[in-house]
Amino acid sequence: MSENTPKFNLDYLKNLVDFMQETNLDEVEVSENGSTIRLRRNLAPAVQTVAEVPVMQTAPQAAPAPQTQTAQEPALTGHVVKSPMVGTFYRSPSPEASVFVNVGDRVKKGQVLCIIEAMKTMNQIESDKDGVVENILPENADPIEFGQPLFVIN
Amino acid sequence: MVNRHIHFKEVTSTNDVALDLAQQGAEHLTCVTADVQTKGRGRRGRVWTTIPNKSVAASFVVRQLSHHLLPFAISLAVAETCEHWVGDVQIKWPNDILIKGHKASGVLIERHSANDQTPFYIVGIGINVNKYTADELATPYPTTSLEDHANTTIAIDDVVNLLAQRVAYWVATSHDDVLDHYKKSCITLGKKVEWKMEDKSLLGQAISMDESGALILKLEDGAEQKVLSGDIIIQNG
Repeated sequence: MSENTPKFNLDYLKNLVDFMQETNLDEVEVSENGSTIRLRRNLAPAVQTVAEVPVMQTAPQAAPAPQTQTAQEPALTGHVVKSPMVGTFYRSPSPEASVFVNVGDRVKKGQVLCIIEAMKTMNQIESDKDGVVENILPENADPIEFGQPLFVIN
Repeated sequence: MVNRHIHFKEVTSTNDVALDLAQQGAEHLTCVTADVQTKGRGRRGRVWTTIPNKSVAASFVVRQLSHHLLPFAISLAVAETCEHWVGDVQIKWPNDILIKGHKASGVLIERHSANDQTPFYIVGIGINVNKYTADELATPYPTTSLEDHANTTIAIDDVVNLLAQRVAYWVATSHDDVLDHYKKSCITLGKKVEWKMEDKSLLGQAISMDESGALILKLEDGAEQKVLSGDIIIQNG
């Protein structure tokens, strides 16, 4: 058996991952010339606690939201709190209520920073460390992508 | 059925009480109901009115899920509960329950995970059961009640008991079953809709739903758009 050209190189795998995300496939197996590769995305177990649920998260490649996105995020220094889901960013519990936090506020771990709404579910996003809010990146009611930076806390 | 049911004469909001109990360790499917809510609220702080013997105000602590489609599971639970007394119950994506086109219930789902606790959901459900007077229900939105269509007074406890049973069923049902049933019941699919995100708005047709429950719109320029938040307004009924 001769060795084949290394088809399963990094670019090939990257394309395969992109294809899975685009088509929402959970598992793909490709065989060629005696070599087989199987890729599997994290699947939820049959019964689980809420902690293990990826919070209504959609495929990472979400379609563009109707509002324009900032073209290129500047490099962020400090501790960045990122969005765990796609949704709408709200700085306060209701339009009339005070914002959860302002720039310069000292926050404690577990303190609510904002709400991300997805499918009419209000997901409270808490600070994962003590510190001072140095930057709030989205505007109120902005559409938010998975992994988008929300706050810088130092 | 629910694991524990606590009823109050009056609370600020059943979601607030359920949250307090959950933070003290209340178990999965603890149910809180009340005759009166002094600060009942809906999405984005909108006021939700609860009147004794005329409406259900119930909140459930949800700690375990068999899927990622909680808003759909709750929609199915509320729709099935209403269907016990009335026909023509419709679900509008993601979780509005309509009877003959008018809103008969409201759902507020809040996810909490503070202080390293295992995250959990508080699911608040309001259902208009018996007829209101205009003075009792100060809302600018067209609403209806079960009694409007059943033509008989309905016992609130009967609605709560059936609702609790259906919530328990649908949170424990598989992802595929929830999605299949939801797609069959959702009137939004196939319709022309307007998608509103604050001051932005797009028109399109709701052509499908993906595995995460996101609505897929085909926009007027032919592009496809995945929708997970904002308001969906069905055009032409």
